[in-house]
Amino acid sequence: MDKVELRESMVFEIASKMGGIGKTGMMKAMYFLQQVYKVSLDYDFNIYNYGPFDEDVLVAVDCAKKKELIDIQLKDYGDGISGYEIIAKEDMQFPASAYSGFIDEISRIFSDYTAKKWELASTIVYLYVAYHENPDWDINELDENVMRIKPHFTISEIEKERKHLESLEVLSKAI
Amino acid sequence: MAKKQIRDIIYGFIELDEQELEIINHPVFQRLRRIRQLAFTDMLYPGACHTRFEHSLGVMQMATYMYDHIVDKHGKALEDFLHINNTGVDFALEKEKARKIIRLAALLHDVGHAPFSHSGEELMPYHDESKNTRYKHEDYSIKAIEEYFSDIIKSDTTTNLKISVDDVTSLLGKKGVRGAGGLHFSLKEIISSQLDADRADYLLRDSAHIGVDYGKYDMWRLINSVTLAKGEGGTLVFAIAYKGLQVAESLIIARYHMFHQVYYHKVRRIYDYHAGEALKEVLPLIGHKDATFPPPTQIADYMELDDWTVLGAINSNSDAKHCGILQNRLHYKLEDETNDPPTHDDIKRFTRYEDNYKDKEHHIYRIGEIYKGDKKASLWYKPYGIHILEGNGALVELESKSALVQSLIREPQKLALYLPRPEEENRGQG
Repeated sequence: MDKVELRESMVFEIASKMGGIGKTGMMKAMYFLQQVYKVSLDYDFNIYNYGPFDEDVLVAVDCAKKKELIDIQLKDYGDGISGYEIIAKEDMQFPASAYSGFIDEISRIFSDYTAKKWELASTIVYLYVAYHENPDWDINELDENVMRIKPHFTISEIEKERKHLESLEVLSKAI
Repeated sequence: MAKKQIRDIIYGFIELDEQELEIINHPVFQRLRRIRQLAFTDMLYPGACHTRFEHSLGVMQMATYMYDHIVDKHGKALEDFLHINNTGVDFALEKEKARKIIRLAALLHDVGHAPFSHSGEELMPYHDESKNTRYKHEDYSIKAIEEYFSDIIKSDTTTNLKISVDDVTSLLGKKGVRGAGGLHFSLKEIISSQLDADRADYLLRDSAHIGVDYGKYDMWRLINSVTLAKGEGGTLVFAIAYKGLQVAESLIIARYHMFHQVYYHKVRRIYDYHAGEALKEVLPLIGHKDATFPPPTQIADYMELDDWTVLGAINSNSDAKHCGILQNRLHYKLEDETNDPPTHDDIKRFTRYEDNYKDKEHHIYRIGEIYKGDKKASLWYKPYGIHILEGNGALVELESKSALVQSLIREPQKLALYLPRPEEENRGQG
């Protein structure tokens, strides 16, 4: 399976196992697959205030839609926020990939996450990896940096999510 | 602070302060005068001789227009989002600092470009052999900023804005940058997104120099339509206000036409190939034995290379096949190309070509990831990530609001066979 096929099959498999996942969730699930579970998707994620992002993920989603593996629907989340829901086509059958277990784990950890929480968790992982490359740092600095990028979270919310990810070994696997 | 105005083909005048002047007067920035924006596009459009130098100034101006509009219209939303009132930060000073960081990032975004711009990027060394990933010009830009411009960036004592080099490089894709955040970071999409100042400038500039109108769009309508909206995760994201739907469409149409008429024109495509091959011929002759550019860790050696040094080597080695082709405009001619997308018969025919020409000079150009082809082709005009903010506050993707855009965004898929001209074959045999 080449890179393009792998990316599209991951879109389908994530959508199958996480019914109704949004585009933000899909972006971050791909980030976790690559960074935490070391799946060679060859994405080049860059950090924005909405977390790690690579527009190639949207290309894969678009291609999967054109091949009718998935459907995409506009969804109103209330509070003036709207987004897109990605739904796997029920009649499509794919053999489970070698990465199926990783997607199950992502689903288990993040399936009830809102887009806002996906963004927070992936930003924490991104910065954790960045900080870990330099021995001269402390965990409070990391939390404060996350807050500088995502100021709509309090420091205690950030700390709580970071500790949650730590307890699930998401952070240690990411480095 | 003394200011200076420079004439510009798009904006009339571009104003620079002392710090910015110090940057553009630096030899590493002056090198951009010797890197043409569109490589050998002048073989097709003789006016395409403009350089990365003037484009860099232009991106700074466009980014400033976008920044000023957003902060003027949405300052309160940004202030609330960043919780400025709770932090004791002087928002006026924060705005001044963010404006400066965005100007510097825009000005320096292309400082690491290779000779012949994108045509030379295939010769950048592998970043990671196992992943088959090459360094990108952005990696060189970040390294060059750190190496050559950090003192100038930090020494802006007149405004006391305390800007760090990481403030600037965090907008240009530096990996693992610590300390990222703040107002400028919230507006990173001005520097790096589908609606960024880079694209907004080069469409207008390339059109003006080449003498085509395809790339033109209503610049002021675009600038006045950029807005901020709450994304899926409640974060402020870049968008186009609904009133600007038509200018967003015209931007996509401009990109579509420039793609087909200029950037991926059949003659331009083959000169990208010849330029890459000519670089392979001359790089070993000017100290780069493995025919690749030095990695960013050897930034001083890399900065020695520009169009002038490479063209000088090409001129001295016109007996080398691709050097001679560039010097005498004897490019391979388009022999055959598929439909878009290729039909079954097209694929069979091109499979035969690969077999028939495997021991003969030829070049097969591939567009579309499906053919392991040029990935950039599929991204040139696809509006991934362009959002429209509707009157009711809903944030929707451009293609969902525009049948016009929907009809344009199919990924191009094409194969094209180029063969040497008979006279070039004769020259080679002689």
